[in-house]
Amino acid sequence: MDFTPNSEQQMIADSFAKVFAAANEPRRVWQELGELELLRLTWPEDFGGFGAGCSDLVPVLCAAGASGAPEPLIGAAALPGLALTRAGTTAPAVPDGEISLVLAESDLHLVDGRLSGLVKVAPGADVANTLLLCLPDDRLVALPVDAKGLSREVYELLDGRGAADLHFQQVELTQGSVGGSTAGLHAWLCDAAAMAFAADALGALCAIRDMTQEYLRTRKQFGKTLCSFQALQHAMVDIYHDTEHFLSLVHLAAKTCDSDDVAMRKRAVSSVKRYLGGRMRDCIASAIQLHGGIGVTEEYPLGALAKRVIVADILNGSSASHGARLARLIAEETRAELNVTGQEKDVA
Amino acid sequence: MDLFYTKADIAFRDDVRAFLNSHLPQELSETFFNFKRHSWEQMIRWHKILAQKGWVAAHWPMEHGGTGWTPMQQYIFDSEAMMAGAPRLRPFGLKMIGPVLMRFGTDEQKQRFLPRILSAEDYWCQGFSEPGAGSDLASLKTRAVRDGEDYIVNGQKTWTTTAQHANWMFTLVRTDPQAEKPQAGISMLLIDLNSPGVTVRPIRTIDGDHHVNEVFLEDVRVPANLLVGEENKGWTCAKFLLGNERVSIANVGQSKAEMSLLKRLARDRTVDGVALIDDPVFGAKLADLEADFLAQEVTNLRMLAGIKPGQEVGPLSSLLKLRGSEIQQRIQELSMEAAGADAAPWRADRAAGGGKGDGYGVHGWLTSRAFTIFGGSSEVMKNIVAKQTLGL
Repeated sequence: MDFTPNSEQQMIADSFAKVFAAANEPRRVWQELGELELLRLTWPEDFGGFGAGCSDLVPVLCAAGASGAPEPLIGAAALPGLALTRAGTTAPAVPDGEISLVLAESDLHLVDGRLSGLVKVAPGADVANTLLLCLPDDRLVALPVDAKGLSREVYELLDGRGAADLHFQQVELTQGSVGGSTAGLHAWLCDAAAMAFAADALGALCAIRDMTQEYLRTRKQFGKTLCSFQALQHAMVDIYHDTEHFLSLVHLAAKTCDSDDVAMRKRAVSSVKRYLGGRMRDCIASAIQLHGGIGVTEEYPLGALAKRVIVADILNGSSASHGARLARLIAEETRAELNVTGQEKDVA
Repeated sequence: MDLFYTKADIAFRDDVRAFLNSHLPQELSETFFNFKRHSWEQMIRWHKILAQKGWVAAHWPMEHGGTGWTPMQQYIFDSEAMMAGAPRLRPFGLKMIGPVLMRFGTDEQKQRFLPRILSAEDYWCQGFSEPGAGSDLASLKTRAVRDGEDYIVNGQKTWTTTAQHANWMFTLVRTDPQAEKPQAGISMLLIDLNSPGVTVRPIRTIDGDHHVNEVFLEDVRVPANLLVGEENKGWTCAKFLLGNERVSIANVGQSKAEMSLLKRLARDRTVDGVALIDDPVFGAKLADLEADFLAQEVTNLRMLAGIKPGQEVGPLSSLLKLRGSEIQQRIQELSMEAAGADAAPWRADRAAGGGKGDGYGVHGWLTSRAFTIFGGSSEVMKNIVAKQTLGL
């Protein structure tokens, strides 16, 4: 169970990190990644992609999270590829150009071939020429952003990454733009999206952890380095440990998204979300606290990283709703156990 | 965790399940599934069944009568056995002194003691803590003075778990009181508890049970060939042993089994017409415990994958001890909540091993207070991680 990336995964993650590190002007980074074919990592081979799965994606997204890169890697590269791969032959045809995956919820209605409603906070939808919509009924729809009746409000998220709100007013779907149904696709993509943002947050958390550790080693008060104070040492150890546990869960979630074990996937992804809304939220708060005043300035890089963790926390379902889903899952499974064994030894 | 198992792992697991099906006595599994605790005698019975199969020392190399299993196979075996309701083997011989003897012991010591650990002819306890040396173990005062071919040992050990059942105690003693650092003057001796001058007295713990003891050593003669490793180098053996102990305390397999009991208890208990497992407040606590357990289970697998044969465990072991002991406490805490008022009576037959009623959960909650104290308290563990792993 070694989650150290293999040499190929590491090579790819390093290529990303190199482009991020050399970044000066954001749009150039996106172009460079495109030129290096790195944006098609998860795309099916038919689309000129590498067919990478969620586990392969983790090191790449970690590198993005650690670098604070604002590019829409998840919404406009990883998820569309995963969606197309998953849908296979039922996927609609997609044109060349920038494609963003948009997860439609029940606020969007498809009536008589026309879409109406609203999708709020679609990460990466700001750059798209084509939206790849996943409807709640597990069908994919490819839609140009300039379609009649579709308006897009583009903005930055709190961590600087782009997103958009999408307003649909009787948007007509042309023949061929709607794919067939792939059982469980919508639920799978919701979990894959949560997993992807969590992998990005893992990179940010590792950077926060290292930064905080270094700060404790160098900052002096009362004539000695901060790391000589036991209360601060213990707080740092908690950050280190929670980050390690979170790492375990993120890799588990990725692995389960690559598998067909739906119950295990839900359990892993909801656990990840529970961590983001609990222990990891505490970690970033503690890291800011350990930095003191400098930790609350906008200029210091810690803040931007912490905001990335918050984005992963509040998008793709709340910590509370994932807690409830996990609890339901436990209840269902424990009841199923009773049904399977018929009579249990302890029930006698 | 089937996701992480190779085909060979799954075949191995099936073998283990088949063995447990045919060889784990029903009386033992029923004890577990009736929410009771295994007695010492039940544990020994299981030890001997495993010894006969050659599976009692899962983590020992084959040359010493172990299984030669990979760390993953060891974990599979442990979690399968726990989930089937088998008693948990005590770690003192198998996980603590056994590996120390393999690493630091003389050939004579290995030949003499290792087979007797496997056969359960010997049972070991750990003579480390003293009234004045708890977390600060290196300040221990029990004195061993060389006298010809023997050491003469005087002092007092405490918190000695299962000393009432054991016939041997691996013991840290001070052989050089003048050493510059307190750690430098310590040696490890193997003491026969039937020697003249040894007195064992019970300590009742907060759960009302007799787990631990005081051991008094008065002019106890210990042959010098029972020194482990070099004189004054006992701290090295102790550190090696504590690393193993901490992994053992994490008890991931046992937690998994106890989680399943807790869920059943919550499923079967109805409060105001609602099954407790459907109660949103209780469910939220259970969900968080599940998330923590899952994280620990995978972290444990990561650590196991990183262990090279015969080497010390890596930095993840401290993390597993810290979180593992906490998780066990929270399982007991929720079991106490799940048992509700049924757990309040504290009748005498509770001593027969509990059950869903009397003291269930409460007893475990009280017992588990010790888990964040023994084998390195949580605070000491954090000091160690801060210094050794994080370089603070």
